[in-house]
Parts: sequence; structure tokens; C-alpha cells
Amino acid sequence: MNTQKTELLQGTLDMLILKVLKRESMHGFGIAQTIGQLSDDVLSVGEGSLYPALYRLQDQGWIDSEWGQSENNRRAKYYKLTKAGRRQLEVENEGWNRLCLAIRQVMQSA
Amino acid sequence: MSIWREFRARLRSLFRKEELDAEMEEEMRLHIELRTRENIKSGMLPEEARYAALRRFGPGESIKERCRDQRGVGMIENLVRDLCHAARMLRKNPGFSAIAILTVAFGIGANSVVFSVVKGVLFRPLGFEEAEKLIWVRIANRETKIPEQRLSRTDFMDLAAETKSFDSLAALNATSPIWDSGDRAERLAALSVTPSLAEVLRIRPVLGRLFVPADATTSAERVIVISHELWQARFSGSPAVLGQSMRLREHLYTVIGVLPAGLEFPLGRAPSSGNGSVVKTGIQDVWLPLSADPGTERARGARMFPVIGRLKSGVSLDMAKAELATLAKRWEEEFPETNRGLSFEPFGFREDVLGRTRAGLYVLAVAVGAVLLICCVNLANLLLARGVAREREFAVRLALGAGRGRIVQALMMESLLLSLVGGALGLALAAVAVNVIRIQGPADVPFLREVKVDGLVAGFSAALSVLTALLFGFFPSLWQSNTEAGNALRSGTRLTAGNHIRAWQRGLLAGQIAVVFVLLTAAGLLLESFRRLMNLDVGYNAESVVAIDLNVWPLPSNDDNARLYQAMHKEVAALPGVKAAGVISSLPLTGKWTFNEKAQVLGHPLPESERPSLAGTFIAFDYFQAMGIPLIEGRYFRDEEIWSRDQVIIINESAAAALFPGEKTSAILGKRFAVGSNPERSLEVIGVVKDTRDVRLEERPQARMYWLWPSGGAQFVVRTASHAHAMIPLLRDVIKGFGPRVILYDIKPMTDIVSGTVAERRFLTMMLVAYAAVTLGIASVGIFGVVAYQVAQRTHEFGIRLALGATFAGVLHLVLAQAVRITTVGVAIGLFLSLGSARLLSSQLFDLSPSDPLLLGLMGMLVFCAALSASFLPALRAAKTEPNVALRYD
Repeated sequence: MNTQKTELLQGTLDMLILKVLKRESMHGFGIAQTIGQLSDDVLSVGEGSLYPALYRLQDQGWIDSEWGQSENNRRAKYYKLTKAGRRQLEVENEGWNRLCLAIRQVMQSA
Repeated sequence: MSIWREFRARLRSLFRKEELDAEMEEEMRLHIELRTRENIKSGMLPEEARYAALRRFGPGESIKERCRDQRGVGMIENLVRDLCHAARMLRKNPGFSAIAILTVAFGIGANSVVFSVVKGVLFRPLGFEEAEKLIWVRIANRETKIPEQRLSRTDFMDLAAETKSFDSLAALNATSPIWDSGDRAERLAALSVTPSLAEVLRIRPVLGRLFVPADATTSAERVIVISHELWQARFSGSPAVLGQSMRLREHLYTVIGVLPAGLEFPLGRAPSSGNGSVVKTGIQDVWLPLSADPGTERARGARMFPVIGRLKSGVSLDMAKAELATLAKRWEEEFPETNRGLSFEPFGFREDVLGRTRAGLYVLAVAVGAVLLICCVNLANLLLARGVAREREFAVRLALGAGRGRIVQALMMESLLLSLVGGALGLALAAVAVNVIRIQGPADVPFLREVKVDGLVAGFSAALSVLTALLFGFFPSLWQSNTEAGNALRSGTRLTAGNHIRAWQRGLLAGQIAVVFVLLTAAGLLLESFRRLMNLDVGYNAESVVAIDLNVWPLPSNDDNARLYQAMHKEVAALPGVKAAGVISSLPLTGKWTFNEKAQVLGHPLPESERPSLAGTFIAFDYFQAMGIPLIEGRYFRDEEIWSRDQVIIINESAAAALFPGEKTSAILGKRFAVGSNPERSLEVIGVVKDTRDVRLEERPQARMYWLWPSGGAQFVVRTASHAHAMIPLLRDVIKGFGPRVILYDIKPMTDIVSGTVAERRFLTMMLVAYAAVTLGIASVGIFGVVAYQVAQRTHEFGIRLALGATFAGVLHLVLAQAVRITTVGVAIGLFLSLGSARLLSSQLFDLSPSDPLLLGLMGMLVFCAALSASFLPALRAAKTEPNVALRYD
């Protein structure tokens, strides 16, 4: 397990949530877990801050939620990507790629 | 998410807050439980695992709050909460709230009143298609500088034939024929019009037809068009009216058409016309064809018809002006006898209706704008003062984590609530005031009777309320949200306003005083103008005089007419209580017909252009005695001279000076002059009377000559020994006693006629005086509030001063001196503004300069007195501070 954790860049949490929800709908805890696992725990999500982000995304219409059964038969709120969310993910993905490219160029030139 | 779902979600989050909060709670609880389970799986003890999960989750309440903010209704919820809070704050300080709400109510009420009037008067549609293209054609005389509103028939026909600027032109003439409907005789308001008028105004009949050119020929059958109103009232709206005949004067006219309902033409202050009466404005009872009368009317110089035209599309007023100037120049060369010095000018129909009223209304609009400004400044000042007292409250809120934006929002909510309540109250006040104006306002302001408070006015008031709230609420709230939480909390309860706040308050006060000064000066100037106008020596004495407007059925000969007038005069003059009675063709100030003639002194031939122009009036019997016009020289007419063919005439001082420059009045008697229309017959001057102001009180007296003749369409003037009103019933009975041959139009005290002509001026003056007075009151309250507040803040300081030996008078002086300094600055700025804006007011002044030093000085003193008396009570309180109490005061 990697002990060195990296702070999330401002604004990237939304993108990560959208990305994770693209594969399947999930509840909040699941999203936090998945982000942690996929990044080998390098990216730690301040778990509390996940929820305001989820509410914000939902308010913007990029994700939707419904109540369902969790693995161990508890009532849980599942989030899923909407059509608008799918489009937004592409937009953010592209923006992210441009940003990475730009940063890499700067770092290499120095 | 579809719009509908989004809307539902928002509604849900607004109204089902508990349910949503419970869901959020559940969701987060699950998260922590799952995390705890994960932790246990990775080997932690249950207690430890739970704590680790909670730690990893973060501060729960804060996160929940952030989630709520994200739900999209955080703002609305906050607004509602702020509104409730604001309402509580206002209830807690009823004194402050009452003053603030009343201030707003007055500011907005005053503005709504003026807005209603401006909207109803200046922006009322005139009721004609493309009314902006309607143009009066007037004559400007380059020498006399007297604008002439009437053209001759020849002028009109030449103009109609030559002009390329107008689609159509029409001439008209007001008459007041008597309609003999069998059982009774009544006077109608009528327009004699050329058939083209319908085309100029673009109107169509509701029944039958309007005039065609053939109707205007002399040989045509006599036809008449009646108004929709007359049709409804007297012919019960029956289509059978077409073809019926009406007996007007001595002729029968056949009704051929009905005009559209509500047709008001002319509008406003229409030009006076040539037949002895002012064109009655508004709805006319009937239209008659203006027939092409042969004879004198043909003369180019007989100018008696107002002419109106419709501009061709694409032709501007300036283009029309240029064309008319060119035509006038050509005619001046062709017909020097009649057209010398005359040019033709276009004059906008709307401008004619509203021109004079507009300037006055703009003065009022600026004044009420100033009133609102004062109100805003006052409120900003009050809020600043109160804000200092609430500094601790804001410090606590800031310390507890409120954002600056939230505090501004909360304070703005208070301002908004104040403004909206005040605005609603103001609108109610405005509705009452507008009703009073509609009933009591001057009769000669066009459309004033139709002014009302409607939806647009309400919207205007609401918008003004919000704007007011922004104006007076924003800056204080910005400052208050800037409080340094730490400082405010540390400094304990004894808070003092920072220097910058005091400077702000002083600046606002000075500004307020400046505006009050400007308003007061304007009101003072108008009031003084009004006083001077009322005290003006107009040349006659209207007190105790009754004016009777009447007409007689035309009798076979002029002498028969004269005998009838003589009989009436004899009876009226014999009444007990009547001192003198006379007849005149045109009462002063009624704008009725007089004629102008060029005069030429015998033995002193002058070219026509240099001959003086005299206004002519017919009088008979004891007119001068009845009106109280003093005789300067010579004698009055003798009654028997009516029958003799002696050509005798009485002139006024101005006429004497114009005809016989440099000669003594005593030397003038017996001299002779002739007038343009009848150069063969000379007139002997038998008397010179004092000048009178006949056209408007504001206008200098004209050179005038009085002919002896009791003409038709005359007015009786009766001087009574006591009160004019008391004599009216008796006089009415005497006139009625002459039977249906005499038609009595109107009987009223002469003073009513005089005050009628200044009604608009009085209205404007009173409005401005009222606004200035209340503004002074509001500003005084503002000064009192701020000074009292500052004194309270400095109680500690005054305690120390008094303890160290300052005297009662010293402290009093300290506080008052500051008020004097602020007032001085305010008055200085106000003086500057007053002089700068003098031009706006000068058109409304009479015999008074807008920079009249005495008046400016007086108003300055008034402002100082108000400011000093407003600060006196607080100053007294400061000086009476008990050092013991003050120093313990916390």
C-alpha cells in the first residue's frame, strides 16, 4: 500500500466521480472505495467531501439517484450517470488531457 | 434531468426539507457503517474502526450543510430566513422602522404622483394615427414678434396648392351656433372645417359620410356632421338621424354623417379663432363645412383660420420649415401690402398641446427625484448609525462563520423589506393624492382629468422601491460586513463609530442639506413669482366684479341689437347694489377675440411697415368704471354717441406712446388717426386710459384702442357694491327676464377668471412648496437622528470633558458648531447647484431672477435654522451629561 497520498486537484473530483459512475451505478461509499482502489490509494478522497460533490452533480443534472438494495440488503442511494453527464465526462476528459499535456511540456522544458 | 423532473426536485427540496435531510442522514450513516466494517475487516477493533471511519469522513454537520447548499435551494431558504429575521428586526425597533417606512413612503409616493401625471399628460396618446405628423401652420411676424395662429383663406389656398411637404392641409374655424331644436335653443360647440380635415386627421365616419369638396361650395345644400356623443344623447344613436335636419342660426342643415366616438379635436390649448371665441377644445358637437365664402374672406390679409396639415412620410419638420420659409419669402415679394415681414412656420401638434405644460412638469419631476434622493440619503444615514450599534451582532455572526456575502444579503433584505412596505404605503398615498389633483388641479392642463394610478404606476413604484433599497441599503451593508470580528468583540460594549463612518455620515448630511436648499430655493422662487404676479397692477380691479357671457339672437339690424343691449344695461345698472355696468366684446384674460389694425396718425404718413399695430376691442356703457380702469386724460364715451356717427375712440397709454411718441397725454386729445381697414375715416382720440394686461397676466400690456359699439357676442361687466357672488342670482334673473332672445352662457365673478389663468402656475408652485416643506422635515429628522446618535456614542467623551472642567456652554457649542460646519458645506454646495440649474426654472419665474440674492439668503437662513433646531436637543443632552454617570457608562 502506497503511504504517500496526493491531494486531489481542485475540480478533478467531479471528473473522477463521473468516470467511476460510467461503468456502473454505485452508492457513495462504493464511489469512494472505487476511486481509492483504482488509484492504489494514491488519490484519497476526503470521504465527507464526496457528498457535497454528488449533490452538486445531481443538481446540475449530470447524475441521477435512486434508492436500491445494497450488497447486504441495506437501503442505499445509488447514483448513475445521465446522458448529460456522459457528455460532461467527455468534456472534462478532454480538458484534463489538455491540462496534462500542458503541464508535461512545462515540466520537460525546464 | 427533464425540466419537469428538475422542477419537481426543486419543489421537493424546498417544501420537504425534513424528508431530504433524513435521506441524507441515512446515506451518510450507511457510508460510515460500511467504512467501519471495512476497517474491522482490515483488523481494527470495533470501537477503533468506528472512530477511524468518522475521522475519515470529516466534520459531519459542516458537510451536511454544504450538501444542503448544493441542493439549489440554499439561496431561497436563506432569503426566506433573512426575510423573517428582517421582519423581526423591524418589529424590534418600531421607532426606527416607522421613520424609515414613512420616509420611503413619502419619497415613493411623491414620485408616483408625478409619474402618474407625467405619464397621463405628457405621454398620453393623442388619439390620432401618426399624431407626430400633424402640424399647425402659423405665421410669424418678424417685426412685432407676435406669433399669429391664423391664416387667411387665400393664404391657405395658396399654401395647399404649392406645398410639397404636406399630404393634406385643412383650415378650420370655431363657431358656437345656436341650435333651435324646436322646444329649446342651445349653444353648440362647432367647428367649421374644410373637407380635407378628415383626411388630415385620418378619421372615418361611424355612420353616413363626412364632407366632400362639393359640400363646401356656396351653392351646395347645407349639410352637417354630428359627434358620436351628440348622436347618442339627442338622437338615441338611431341610424335614422341621417337626412334629418337641424336648425342652426337661421338655416336648416341636413345631417349626413356621425363622427367617431371620443374624437377630441382640437386638443389642449387650441388656437383662438377669428369669430369671437376660443376654439373649445375636446369633443365638438358638430362639424360644418367651411364654405368658400366670397367677399371679404377672400382678402389675403383677413387672417382668421387656424390651419393644420399632415406631413408627407419622409418629410421632417425642418424640411417643412424650409419649404414654408421659401414660399413665405416669395409671397412677401409678390404681396408686400399684406405679407410684409410675415413668414410661415410649422408647429408640432403635440408640442402645441403640451408645450407649456412640459417645462413645469419637468421641474416637478426633477424636484421629486431630489425628494427621493433625500429619502435614500436619510435612510442610509439612519442605517449607518444603527449599524454601528449592531456591530457586535455582526462580529458574532462573522466569528461563527457567516460569510461576508451572507451578511450583506441579510442587511439588504432588511432594506428591501423597509422599501417594499414603504413603497406600498407610498402607492396608497399617491392614489389619494392623484385623486385630489384630478379634482382640484388646474383645468387648463391638458388631460389632467384623466390621470390615474394604474398598473404601470404600481410597477414603477415597485421598481423604485427596489432601487431605493439598493441605493440606501447597499453601502451601509457593505461597510458593516467589513467589521473585523476580533476588534469588535474585544472592544467591549462601548462601541464608537470609526472616523471614516463619521466622515461618511457628515458627507451624506451635507449632501442632503444641499438638495434641500436647492428645493427650497426653487419653491421660494416660484412662490415669490406667484406673489408678485398676484400683486401686479394689471390696470383693472377684478374684485367685486361679475362677468356675464351672453349672446343674442341676431336681430334685423345692428341698431336693433344695440337697443336690446341698451335695455339690458338699463335694467342691470338700475339694480340695487350695482355701481356700474358695461359691455365689452372681449373680457381681459379670456383669450377671446380682438382684432389688430395698423394705425396711421393724420398728417404723419408712415410706410405701412412702420405703422404701429393696435389691438381693438368694442365696449359700451360704463365699461371702464365697471372694470375700474382709471382714465388718465380726457373723457369716457357718452351713451348717445352710440347712435351718432361721430368717430370717437379711446386709447390706452401704450397706444398713446406708440401713436404719438414724445407727446404729453393732454396734447393728444382731439388728435386723429386712421386704421388700416378704413383709411378714409379718421378717429378722434377723446380719452386715454390706463394700460391693462389682457392676454396673460405675465405679458406686457398691448397698445389698445376701444371702439364704442355694443356688438353681438358680448360680455357684461358689472361692478357690485359688495360681494360679487351675492349678486349673481339676481343678475341671472334679470338676464333671463329678457326671454329666449338672450342666451346666457356663463356668469361668474371676474376674480374666478383671473385665478383661472394662473391655476397651472399655482398648481406647480403648491406642489413644489409642499415637496420642499416635507423634504425639509425629512432632512431635519435625518439631522436629528444622526446628531443624536453621535452624541450618544460620545457620552463617555463628553463625561471626560465635563469632568475636566468643560462648561455646559462649551459642550453645547461643540455639538452645534459641528452642525453649523456641515450645514455651511451643504448650503454652499446647494448654492452652487441652484445657480447651475437656474435655467430649468427661469421659464417658470415672473419678474424675478433665479439668483435673487435676498431669496437665496432667506432660504439659507431657513436651512440653518432647521439644522440648528434639529441638533439643539441632542446638543442639550450632551451638555447635560453627568460626568459620574457617563464615566461609569458602559
